[in-house]
Amino acid sequence: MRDRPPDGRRSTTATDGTRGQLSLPLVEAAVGALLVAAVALGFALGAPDPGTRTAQLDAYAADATTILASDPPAGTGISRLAAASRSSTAFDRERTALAARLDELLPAAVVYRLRTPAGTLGHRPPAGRAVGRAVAPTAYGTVVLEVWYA
Amino acid sequence: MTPRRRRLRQPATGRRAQATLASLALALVALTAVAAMGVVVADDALADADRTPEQRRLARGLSDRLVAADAPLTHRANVLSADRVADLDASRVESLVPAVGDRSFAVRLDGRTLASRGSPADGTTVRRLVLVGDPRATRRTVPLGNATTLPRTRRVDVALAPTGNTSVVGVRVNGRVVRYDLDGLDGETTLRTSRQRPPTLRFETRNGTAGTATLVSYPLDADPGTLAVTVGA
Repeated sequence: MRDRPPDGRRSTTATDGTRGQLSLPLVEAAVGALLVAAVALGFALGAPDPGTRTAQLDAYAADATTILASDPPAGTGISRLAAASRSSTAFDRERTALAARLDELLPAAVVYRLRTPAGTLGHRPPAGRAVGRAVAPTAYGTVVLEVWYA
Repeated sequence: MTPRRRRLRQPATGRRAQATLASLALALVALTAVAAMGVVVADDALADADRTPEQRRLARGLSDRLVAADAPLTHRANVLSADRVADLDASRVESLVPAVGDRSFAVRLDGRTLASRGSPADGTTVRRLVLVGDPRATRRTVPLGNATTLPRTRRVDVALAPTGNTSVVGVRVNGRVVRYDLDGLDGETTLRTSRQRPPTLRFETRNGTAGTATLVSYPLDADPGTLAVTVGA
């Protein structure tokens, strides 16, 4: 048996009739905002790879590698890249000329890292940013050039 | 017991649960604001996306054709000839890459326009690193008795001038015999050398080593540059 209020009313509603109501438009707006936020989150987290930027950086790296591969070395050897891959003493001999040549070839805002079997030249590539890459074979191993915008 | 009838309980004052205009307006404003923010986030995320992949592909393909090793303008891969580059015009560009069709394009070298059609202001640009230059004749006169190392070149013009009783019977490049005549070599000759290493010339002579040889080599004199290819709509 349900408890009845003492003054004989049928239910526990307030006398002046104002019931606690949740404003329905606000509920709808909240649900709509939640849906839009979910879609926006999908964009923010799953953004596609910026293909244009990498393509240009790849072109820079490929061109720099092609030009370096046919440059004469400062020491002995057929090409600058081959001399820099031959041995660590040969790499030290080529190091300054290589750095100067790469600074001359690449545009001002581009930073590089050149890895040969005998040594590495340049800065560490950043994680999470577009990095262009080119690979050149030499008689002593593979030379990898990575470039990115500073 | 009276049957309890279900009845809508109307509050005494007659006020029903209504969506008020104020709360509706507030809800719409909030939803619009969230939708606008979502669009901004999406646009930011897609800002780097390539909306015209065809232009980019054509620009890249055209630049590849221009700097290739077997291109009409190049000495070798990524080395453009400064003389031949001046001959480039729009019809040659179109014959190189027919897929360009009737789009607007522009080919620039270090800011200078080599060939263009229309004004590809909104087009995609691909930049390539190149060396620009041509072989330049370098002349040296050396005594016949010395071995001479020249800069890398594909060609050496040799003019022999032995004096007295000396006769030149042979010419060696990097140890390899390229000219040989026991009756004596004289006059001018052109040697083809490899670009792979600097050529060292040595002359074999009879009856002494008096005399000189004039050597003209053609090393490549090239400076770095940037080739920018833009393809528009």
